[in-house]
Amino acid sequence: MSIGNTRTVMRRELISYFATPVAYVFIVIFLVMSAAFTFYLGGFFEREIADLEPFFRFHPWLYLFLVPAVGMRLWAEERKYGTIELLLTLPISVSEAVVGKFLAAWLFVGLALALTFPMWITVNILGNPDNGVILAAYIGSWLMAGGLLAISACLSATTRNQIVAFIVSVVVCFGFLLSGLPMVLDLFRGWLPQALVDGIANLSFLVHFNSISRGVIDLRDIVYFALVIGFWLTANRIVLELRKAD
Amino acid sequence: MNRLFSASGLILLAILFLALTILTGALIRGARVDLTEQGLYTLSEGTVNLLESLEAPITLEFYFSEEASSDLPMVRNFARRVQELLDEMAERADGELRVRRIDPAPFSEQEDQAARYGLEAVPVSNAGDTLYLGIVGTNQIDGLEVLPFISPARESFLEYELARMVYTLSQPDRPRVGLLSGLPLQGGVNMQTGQRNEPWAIHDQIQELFEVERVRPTDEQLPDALDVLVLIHPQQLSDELLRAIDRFVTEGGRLLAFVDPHAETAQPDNPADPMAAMSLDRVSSLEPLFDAWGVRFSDDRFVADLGQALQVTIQGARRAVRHPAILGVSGENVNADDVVTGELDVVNLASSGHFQAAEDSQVTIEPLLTSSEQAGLLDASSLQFLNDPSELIPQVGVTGERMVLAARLSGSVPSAFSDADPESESLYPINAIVVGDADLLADQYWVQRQRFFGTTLLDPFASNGDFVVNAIDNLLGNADLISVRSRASSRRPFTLVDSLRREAEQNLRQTEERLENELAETERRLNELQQARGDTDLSILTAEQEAELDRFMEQRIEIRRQLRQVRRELDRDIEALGTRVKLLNIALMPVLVTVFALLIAWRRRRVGRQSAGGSSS
Repeated sequence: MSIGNTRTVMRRELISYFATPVAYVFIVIFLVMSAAFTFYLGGFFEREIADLEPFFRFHPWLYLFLVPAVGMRLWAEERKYGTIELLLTLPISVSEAVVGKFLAAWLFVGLALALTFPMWITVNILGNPDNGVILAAYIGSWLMAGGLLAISACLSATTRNQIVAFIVSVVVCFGFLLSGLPMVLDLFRGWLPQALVDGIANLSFLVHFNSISRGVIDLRDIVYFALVIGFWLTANRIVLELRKAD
Repeated sequence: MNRLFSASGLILLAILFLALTILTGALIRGARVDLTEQGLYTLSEGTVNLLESLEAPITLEFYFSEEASSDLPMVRNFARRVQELLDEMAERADGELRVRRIDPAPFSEQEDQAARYGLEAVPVSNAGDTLYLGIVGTNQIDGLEVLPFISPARESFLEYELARMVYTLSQPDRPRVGLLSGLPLQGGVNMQTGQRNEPWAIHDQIQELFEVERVRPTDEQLPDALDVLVLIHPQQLSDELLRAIDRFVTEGGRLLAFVDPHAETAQPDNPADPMAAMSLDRVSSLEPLFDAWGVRFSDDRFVADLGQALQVTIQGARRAVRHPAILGVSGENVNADDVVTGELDVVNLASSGHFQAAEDSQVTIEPLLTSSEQAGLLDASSLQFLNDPSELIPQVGVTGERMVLAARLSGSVPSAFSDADPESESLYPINAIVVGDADLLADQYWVQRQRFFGTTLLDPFASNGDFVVNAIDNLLGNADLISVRSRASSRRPFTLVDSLRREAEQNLRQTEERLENELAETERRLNELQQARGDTDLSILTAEQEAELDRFMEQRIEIRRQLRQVRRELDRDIEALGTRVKLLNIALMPVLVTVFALLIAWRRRRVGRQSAGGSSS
């Protein structure tokens, strides 16, 4: 896999985002929703605690809908318009295309996340927050978005219908978010050994995101997100190869 | 290769992924970066040492009411912090520390259990919800340690408290401390009010940590097998007891002594008798022992320190004045290199004496607390009838020297009672800490009792308590516990909102004060008019008085209105700030992004039109 080719794919893809208003609409929705949730559902101002916990608390749920929306078009669109054949005949490997497209989308979500910096300025004006914790939470949030995006990208390659890709992605991402919650674990507790139940809990994005967002970057959490992204991108590649064979 | 890109390849990949995630969760441990400002998730070395040296299992049960706390985000945040710290500790203890979280929901079995352990149920709402936030620690030999309520206000001591709990549970026996006290440490009955005085906070702390054996000045012997001997304001000790103390120290026993040239907090046997209080001998010293060891203590003079004098409010006067005998020892005057004082902030002392080494002394005096360079010595008698402490200030002859207020004694000393064999004066290693003030132990110099949801909590404003416990711990040789840092709190309020609120409250108080003054003034005028009339019957008012009264009433209504307005403005200011912050965060960026997008679109269209125009021409 050549880094140069990957970068070319990534750049081309990233530029194409901003060619249509869709990217801007996505960013605006993300910014409005995240701030509105922080203030109205999270009671950011009324709590009078100088941290961004109410801001990050809603990120998993915002991403649950917004990230599949970004990911759905990655491959489904190419398939629908037949441009995928063109892309795959270019002198780049499938892996390069997969990683390049993923990175472009991930950077795009990262840009949206970065544009929430007024929240960070606000909390620093209102009090003296622990900026180390905030930095960690931003990193955790971006990693989580990466995980969800890799899932969405892979599922987008399975269909030529973007709406189907979106719905299936939301469902799978929902499963990954929920797997650490007690109500899910209770389903397994009766008949699976504890180690496997712990394993299921360990699959949860929420558990790993919460762990990072308290201010500690644990190698386990990083490895987890790397594994998720790696697995889904590899799966993405396999799906493309399988479809190519069709 | 082709096989990999098949449906079965996908299934294989999924299995591999599951196996790897489960494995990494279980296998990778300890590699992490703590990005929090104060290293909140990094345990002190002392705690880690304690945990790693655990030999028998200890269980900590964390009782926290989930439902009752649902509307208390601060408390919930704090509980999360506690839980994380506990988990962290369990991880470092190699399986010897078990942590369980228990939710004592109302009417549950767990709630009964919490009550049985003596955990405090703190009422948090009018609906009768009660909040449990306590820890019960047990070991395998029926040892039980309970933190009935962990106050968020004491978060900085959380790790220390937990480490102490673990340490206490890991010790089969509590260390034995002999305690001789010439101060009313245990409280007692206040003769004037007839009410019971609570024991001093320091007394409870010592009692909690150690097995305390009382020693009386008239005793002839020390209790057996003491680990540390604590002498507080020792006076008129019997010869036999002095001998016993000498023997204890020269045989390797550890000593912590608080001697005082003027013990303000000492009480006569009959506190109701003012004469007894006046003629009370307030000097303490261990002179025979100090003499033998080569330690000189200023038992008739105290250190007056202009550099560290604290402000006090004296009765009758409204202003605060600096009191050169009451010192807040801090900064470079607290030995940062010694484990006992290393983490202390400020230690408050009242009329402390000072220590010096005698010329031919073999003992090493390592200062723990010192005066500033702007200090001198004054006669203890000048404190006896002191009305205005500022009178002392011109009397202080500043020596420019730092005087030692508390010190660690080490080296070798002769016995004070070598009369048995005066020829051979053998030397013994000494291990003692001496403090030139005993009043620092009294609550008034370091801790405030606060009511929090109906329970009494201690809120220290100086480190006196830590100093004493550290000193005893250190003398016991338990350095791990001492090295556990006390940390700054992770509580982070909106300082801007707080300052707005403070400002408005000050405004409110000023207006209130004005109302009170005007009220008093009007009352005075009414009285004057009454007297001028020469009539004592207040029920009949003259026209003049009535006019004055009416004016007063009107004024009062007006000021009340003003008060209400100030109060409303306070809310309004904070609300306005909230709205501004909300609006800016929700709208500003999206608007900017939209404008940017429109600009780009406009430019693109223009460029498109130009190139279209160019090609058509």
